[in-house]
Amino acid sequence: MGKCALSIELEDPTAAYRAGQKVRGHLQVVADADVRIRALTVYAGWQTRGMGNVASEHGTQVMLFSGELAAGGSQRYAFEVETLPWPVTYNGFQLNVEHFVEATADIPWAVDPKVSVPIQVLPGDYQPPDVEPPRSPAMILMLALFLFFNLFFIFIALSFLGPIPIVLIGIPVLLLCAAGGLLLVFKWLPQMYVGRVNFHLDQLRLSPGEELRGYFSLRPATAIEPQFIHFHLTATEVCVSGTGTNQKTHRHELFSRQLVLADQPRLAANETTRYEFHTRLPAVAAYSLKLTHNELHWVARIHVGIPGLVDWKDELYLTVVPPLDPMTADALAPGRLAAQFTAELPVPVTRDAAPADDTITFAETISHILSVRTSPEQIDVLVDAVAGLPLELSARIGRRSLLGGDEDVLLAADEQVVWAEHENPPLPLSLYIPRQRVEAFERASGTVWTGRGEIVGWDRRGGRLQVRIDG
Amino acid sequence: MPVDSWLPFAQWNLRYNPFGELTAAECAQVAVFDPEPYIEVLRCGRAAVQFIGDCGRGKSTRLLTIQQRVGSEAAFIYLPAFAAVTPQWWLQLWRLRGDLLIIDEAQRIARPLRSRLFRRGRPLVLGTHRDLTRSLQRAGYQVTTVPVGPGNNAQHVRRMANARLAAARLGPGEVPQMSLAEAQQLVNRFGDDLRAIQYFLYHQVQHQAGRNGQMRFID
Repeated sequence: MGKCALSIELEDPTAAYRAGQKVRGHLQVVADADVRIRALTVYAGWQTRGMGNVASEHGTQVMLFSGELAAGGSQRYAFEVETLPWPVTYNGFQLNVEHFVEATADIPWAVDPKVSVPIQVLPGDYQPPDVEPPRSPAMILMLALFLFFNLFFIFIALSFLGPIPIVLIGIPVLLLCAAGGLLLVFKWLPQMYVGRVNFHLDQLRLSPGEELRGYFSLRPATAIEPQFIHFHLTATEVCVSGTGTNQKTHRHELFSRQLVLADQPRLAANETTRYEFHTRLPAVAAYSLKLTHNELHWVARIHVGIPGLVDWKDELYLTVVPPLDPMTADALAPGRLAAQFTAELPVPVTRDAAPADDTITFAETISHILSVRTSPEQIDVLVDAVAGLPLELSARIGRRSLLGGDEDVLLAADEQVVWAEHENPPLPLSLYIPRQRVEAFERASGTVWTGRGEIVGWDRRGGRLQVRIDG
Repeated sequence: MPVDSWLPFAQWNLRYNPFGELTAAECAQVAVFDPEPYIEVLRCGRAAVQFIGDCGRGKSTRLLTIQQRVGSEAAFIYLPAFAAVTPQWWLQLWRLRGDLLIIDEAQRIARPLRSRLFRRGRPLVLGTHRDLTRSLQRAGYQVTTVPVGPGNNAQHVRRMANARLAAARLGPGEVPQMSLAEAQQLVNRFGDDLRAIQYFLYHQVQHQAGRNGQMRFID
C-alpha cells in the first residue's frame, strides 16, 4: 500500500482574501513508498464549526497530478483556487464559518491523505439574497395532526369504553373545542385587545452599523392600558445537532436590544397611537445566515404586555448583509463580540398620540415658554408652575456639557449634563442625567430620545430649559 | 506559535473550538476506540457486533469509526424515530447493499423486516438501545455484544478530550491538554454521558475565545 504526505504552502500565509478572490500557493507531495495517485486535487471551501451539524461546501476541484510517485520522491505543484463567495469567515459563539484550502490524494486501496489550511475570507462584491423567515406549519400539516390525534384518541376511547357511537362524534368535537380554545387564548383574544395594528420597518435589508427605523401603531376598539409596549432587536444563532430523536436545537442570543416604546400607556378607543423608533445595528460582522442546520437570524419584534391575557407579539425578519464598501466591512468587530454592544441605550422613540388626561404636556410647556421668551421673569413663573411635574418628553440628544457642579447649582454630585434639542417646537434643553445613564446617552448622541423627566429650571444665559431625567 | 489573529483560539495553537460537532470522518479520527478487533470478528462469516447503550455514550462514534476504517465496502444507515412504521425506511433498509451493514438505532427495524434482513447473513454492526441477541442468534449469527457507557471513565474522557484538542491543532507545536483530575471532575458531574461533557466543554472553551492565559476546562 502506497502512502504519501501532503503539505500546503500559501503564497502569502498571513493574507486575508476577498470572497471570490484567487488563492495561490504550492502543494508539496512526499511519497514514503511507491504510490499510484488516481488524482491529486486541491480546492477551496468552507465548513461550519460549532454546536450544529457540520454544513460545508467545496469549490471547483483543480487536478494537479495523476500517476505514480516513486518512494522518497517529492513533487511541488503550484495551484490557484477561488474562494467561495458566501458565507464569509464568521466567528460567533456556537456557529463559526471556517474557510480553507484543502488538498487530497485519491489513492486506491488506502486511506486518502488530506491537508487543509484555514484562510480568512472577507466580504467582496457578492450580495447575498434576502433571508426568508421560517415557514409556519402548513395548513395541510395541521389538518394531518388534527386527524392523527382524532384517530389516536378515538382508538384509545374505543379500547377502554367499548364500541360507543358517541365517541366517534364526541372526540372530534372535543378536539375542535380544544383547538378553538387554544387559538382564542393565544391568538384571537390578544389580537382583539390591541385592535388594528401596523408594525412597519423602513428597511428590512441593512448592514451592520446602519440605522433601523420604523413604527408601530395600534388602534384598539376599546380604551386599553397595556403593561408595556416593547421593541426588541435580536441576533440569534440557531444550530441543530444530531439527527432523529437525538436532534437538539441550540439557540444563542448574540445580541439583544430592547426599546421601551411605552410603559403602562393609556390608549383611547378608536384612536390610532403611533410609536416611532429608531436604533442602530451593532457594528459587528454578524450577517444573516441560512445554512443547513446552522442559521443566524436578525429579528425585530414588538411585544405588547397584556394584563391577564397572553401577550401580543409580532416579528419581522431582517436581512443583515455586508456593507457595500469592503473597507467598512473590514472594520467591523467579530460577531462573537456582539454582546458587548448590547448595553442598554436610552429609548429613541417618539409617540404621536393624544394625551391621556388634561395635564399640560412638555410640548405645550415649551410653546408657552417660547411665547414669553423675551420676558425672563414670566418664564421663571411658568417654570415654577410646572416644576416637579413628571412629564413625557422627546428630544434629540447632543453632546455632554463640561460644566461642573460649582458652575451649576442644580447639578447634583451624581449627575452630569447632556445637551439636547426639543424639535417641535424647537428649544435647547439641558438634561440632568444620573451618572449611571450618562454613557448610554452619549452613545445615543444624534438620536431622538423619549422618556420621563421633570422641569427643574431655566438657564437664562444659555436659553435652555433644564430638565432632570428619571434615574 | 501561529499568528492567525482572526482565529479566536490561535493563542492556544487551535484552529477551532475542539468540542463542537464534527464530520463523520473527523469523528472517526478522534474516536478513542480501536475498531480492529471487531473488524476481525466480522471477517469470520456470519458475525454481528452490537453496541448497546444510552444516548450520548459513544455508540454512533464507534459505528462511524468502523465505517471509516472499512471504507466503501460498508453500508451505513441511521434509522430515525418511527422508522419501524414508515414504509420509506423499510424500503431504504431493504435496499441496503454492502459487504458489511452498519445500522444505527437498530432497535427501530420493523420486526418482520428484521428477520428477513438478518437471514441475508451479511456481517452486521448494530448500534441499539435494546439487546437484539435473540433475533440475531435465530438467524445464525455469532453475536458480540459491547456495552457502551460503563467504560466512559475519567481516563477515557481525558483521552477523548485530548484527541479532539490534537485534531484541532493549528500548526506544529503544543496544544492544551486535559489533566486526569479535570476529567475526573467532569465524570463526577456528568457521569458517563459523553455528549453532555462535550457540550459543557464547548461552552467552557468558547467563553475563553480571544483571551490569553492557560485554557481552563473546569471553572
